[in-house]
Amino acid sequence: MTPTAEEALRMTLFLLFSILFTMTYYSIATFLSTILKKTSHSVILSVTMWAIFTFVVPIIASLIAITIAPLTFLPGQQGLEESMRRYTAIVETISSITPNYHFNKIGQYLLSLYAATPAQEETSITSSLMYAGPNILVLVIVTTLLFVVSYITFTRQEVK
Amino acid sequence: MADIFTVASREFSDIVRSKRFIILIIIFGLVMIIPMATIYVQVIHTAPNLPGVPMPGGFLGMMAFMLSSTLSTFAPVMGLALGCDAISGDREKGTLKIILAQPVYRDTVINGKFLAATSAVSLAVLITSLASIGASTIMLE
Repeated sequence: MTPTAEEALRMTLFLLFSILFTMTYYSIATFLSTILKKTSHSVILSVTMWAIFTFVVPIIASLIAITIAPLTFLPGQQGLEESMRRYTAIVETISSITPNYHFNKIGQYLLSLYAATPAQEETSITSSLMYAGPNILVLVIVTTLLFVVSYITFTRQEVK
Repeated sequence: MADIFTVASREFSDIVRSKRFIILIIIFGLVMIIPMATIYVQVIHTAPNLPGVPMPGGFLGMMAFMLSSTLSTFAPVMGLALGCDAISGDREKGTLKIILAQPVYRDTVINGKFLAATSAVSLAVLITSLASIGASTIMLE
């Protein structure tokens, strides 16, 4: 299967954002490694953060959403679509505290995961990037902010 | 400015030559290729027989399926493994004192580390992703 030029470009952009996403986690780890005395502490804490962001938050998000906006599958129920929308909105709001959520969003917009559904019309690469803009911005800001904080901490630290 | 690149290139060659980096590349290469094989078996062999199941479109659909979920779960580990001893590792080994005894500013050290990590992370992500894209392209021929 040979990718078209546009597919190859989308793929390249996606890989660039994967690097950005990995660097977000790198700056989390560097930040912890700067403020904590021992490497073992920063390893434990950063792996815990990864596990929480990747596995725990999505589960908690869906638990909270199912409590606030229960899905009803009764036949002939009118509000199903509406309750689905509320459910998804709550899950997405809670998950948006994790970098993973923003990376997944970028992936969805850029690789157009839902391109197979006929309802969605073709979007150009620029408009995909525009949709993903806020998520890209969040990753850039978090990475920069954590780097700046570790930079300031490190330059003021006492080295014994 | 030149100092940053000196620090960065020392740091980069340290990272790339370390056992940890090579092990990471091998593990992630496997983690990225194996889901692709699973999807190949499931989607290619079962999905076309199911009526009314919309298939993800073309090359991108296949890749999106695998890459975005695998990367969002496992790419962070690469970043964490490289970053978790960025400063404290040098502090524990005592090399931080030696580096700072040299005529370099502290900000040069941390900037250089960040630059080196960016290059190493790019290298790791590109190698593993290209390996899995390549493998899946061959499988889908």
